[in-house]
Amino acid sequence: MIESQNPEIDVQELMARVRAEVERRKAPPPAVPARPLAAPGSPPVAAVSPFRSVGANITAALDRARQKNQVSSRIPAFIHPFFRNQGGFNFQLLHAAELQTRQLEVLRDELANLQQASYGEAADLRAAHADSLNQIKELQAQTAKQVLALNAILKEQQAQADSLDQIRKLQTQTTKQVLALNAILKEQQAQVDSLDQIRKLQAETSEQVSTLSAILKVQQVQHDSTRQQIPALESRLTDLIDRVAPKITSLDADAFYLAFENQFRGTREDIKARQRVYLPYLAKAGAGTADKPILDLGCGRGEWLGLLRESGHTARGVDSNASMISVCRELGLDVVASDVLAYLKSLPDQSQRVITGFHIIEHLPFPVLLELFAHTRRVLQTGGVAIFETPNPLNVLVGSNRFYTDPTHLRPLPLELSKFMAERVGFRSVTILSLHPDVARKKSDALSQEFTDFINAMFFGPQDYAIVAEN
Amino acid sequence: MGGDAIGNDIGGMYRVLESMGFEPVVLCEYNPHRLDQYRVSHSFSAKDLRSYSLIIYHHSQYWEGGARLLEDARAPIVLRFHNITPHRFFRDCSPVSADRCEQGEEMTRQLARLSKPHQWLADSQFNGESLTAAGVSQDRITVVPPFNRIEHYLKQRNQADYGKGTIDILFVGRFAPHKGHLHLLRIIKALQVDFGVQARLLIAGACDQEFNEYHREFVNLTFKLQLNGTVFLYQHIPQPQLDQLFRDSHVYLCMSEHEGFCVPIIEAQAMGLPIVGTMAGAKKDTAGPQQLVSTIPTGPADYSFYASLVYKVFTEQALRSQVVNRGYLNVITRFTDEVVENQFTNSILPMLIHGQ
Repeated sequence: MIESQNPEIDVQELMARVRAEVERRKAPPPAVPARPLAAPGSPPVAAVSPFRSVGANITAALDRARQKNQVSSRIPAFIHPFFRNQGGFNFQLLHAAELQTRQLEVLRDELANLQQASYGEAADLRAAHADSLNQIKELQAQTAKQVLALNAILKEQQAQADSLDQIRKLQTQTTKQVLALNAILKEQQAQVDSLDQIRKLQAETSEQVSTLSAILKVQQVQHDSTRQQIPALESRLTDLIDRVAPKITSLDADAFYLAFENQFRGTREDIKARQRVYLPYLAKAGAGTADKPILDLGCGRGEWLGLLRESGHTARGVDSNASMISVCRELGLDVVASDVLAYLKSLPDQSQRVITGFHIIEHLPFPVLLELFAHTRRVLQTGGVAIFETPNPLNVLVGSNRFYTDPTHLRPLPLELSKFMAERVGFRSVTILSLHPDVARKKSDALSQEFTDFINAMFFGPQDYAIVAEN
Repeated sequence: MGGDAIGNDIGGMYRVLESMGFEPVVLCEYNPHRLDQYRVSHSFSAKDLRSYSLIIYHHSQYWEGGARLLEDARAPIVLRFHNITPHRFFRDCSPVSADRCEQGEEMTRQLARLSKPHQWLADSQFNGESLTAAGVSQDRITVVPPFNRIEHYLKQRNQADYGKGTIDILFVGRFAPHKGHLHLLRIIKALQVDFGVQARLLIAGACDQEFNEYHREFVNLTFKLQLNGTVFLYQHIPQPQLDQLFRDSHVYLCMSEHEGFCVPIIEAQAMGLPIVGTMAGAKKDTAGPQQLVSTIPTGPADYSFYASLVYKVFTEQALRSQVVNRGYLNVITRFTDEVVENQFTNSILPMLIHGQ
């Protein structure tokens, strides 16, 4: 509530007062009242008052006294006193004095009468004034009571109005909430309807899933049965190939590659000697037992498997080349004829301690290579090691020429790429071993040492590298 | 909807309905102000009309299309009555306007006989009584003040210096015969003659072409009373300049002889400007209690009376303070957005539920 230090102004009363002031300002001035005329039939207003009549008599008496005192001017002055009418003069003077006294008495009476009359009028006025005052006081008291009563009524009405306002506000809020709830209910109903449809679809899908599961089970049984038959079939096939292989012409690819290896790879002893560098990694991993086996992917002629057997390690090789498999089996090595990636995929998680692959990764298309790395990590036990050896493209001669001697090589694999792939699939620690520097390295007698080193690195540097990845 | 009272009322209703989750549409024949912030439609086809769940019809003059629209509509109807100026005010200066008002009054009587579900909203008690006189049943009438821009004016306060100097007197209203512009001039003259004070009359309001004769009469009287130089007219005044007039004026003087609500009164009260004026139409109710409003002047004494009120409110701080405070209370208890929104929502609920 806005409070004011000033007393409340009754605006209606103020406007009434202003209007009255304006009317007074605008009204013409009042005319001077005329002398009141005598009413018809009433005695005429005396032209001469009693005071004047007595006064006239005194004057007349004094005039007569002067006459008595007068003497003819023909009589000499020294004898005037003998001819004045002293008695008459004295009589007239006394008469004048008497009249004067009477006049004074009349005046006194008149004054007393007037005084009395005025006292009476004043008393009447005071009495009337007192009556009016009493009436005004009574009216004031009544008005004050009425004002108090009206104030009380106004307060009550204001309180009622405030209550009504609050009720209206609550009503509006409630209505808004109801409308909002209705909207939410509608939305929820729509959602419930959608859920019902989803449940129906779910039920249908469950039925289909059950049907498919049954079909899958049947197929799984068939698949297992087929899988079980595969080794036997493989063996029979291998035997068949072994029997047939020598009869196959020189155009057979596997035989060709075996011959190529024999020509360009080096002797078995050379290779085994180079591969001894990896034995300490096996020892560190504790590999080579029945529960921590070693798997060689793309075992080829079996040099590594042979080295492992000689050093007392349990190992198996896998290769898709029938000729290579045949050679290995003739050597009594444990080998499986299979596509390398397919075999790796068939192995359980963490079933091998060491997986190796010598000069295989440069043969594989990139997507297959990525899969190979991924499954290698999956199959390796924690603490196991993967070793992949491949030609080093940092050696310019290797990267630009010798790499392509093998027609089955796809592309050189830079060290950084191989390392990145191994790390990408999740190997914990990846090390690069630079291996097999060319024996044709130059000496620095003819050229500066620095240039010699450069040339040696570029042309006669390590021809291979291996990534050693720890799981 | 270009900032006039009816436009603000429509805008306010639109905003409230949208906040309640409805999608209101302003349906009109013309869109001269390019109201981009509202959905506007000019389609009055029966098919489109049937798509609405509630129709709020703003009735302030005769509109033949409006009568047809209400016939074709299927939804419940809320009729918002903004009052129609009695045609007698326009008969002398613009017979065309007078005829239009007369037709509007007849249309009100026709709408009173509407048989479809409907409710009347009157801007004021005075408007409500006008509807009753036109034949509308009282139980169909609800008094809801119009949406307004009080919140804008409440943020500002009058800053004029009172007590001495020239009195700046403000009136906001278009030039039309019932707005009492001639009374304003006579009051300014009475101030000069009765109190020897100088006053400036500031009038913000446009003049429609149909009332050119009334405007001429006003100008002639200005010169006759030797008030040229004290009267300032502002047509199509931008809002910031209008705000400045409110801030700088001493008194808001409103001598109109007919008003359905009189929005400028509450705008002046919101700004803290004391009000002096006639109580014609709805103005006494709009201004609230304890305000300086009285009868329409008929002679020199009345003009002196109003001049006296202006002079008193200019010079007497206690009176001015009381009038301004009462005016402010009047606005914040009866005409703020919250109050009007509540009353509007409550009043249309029966029709809304009917339309659902």
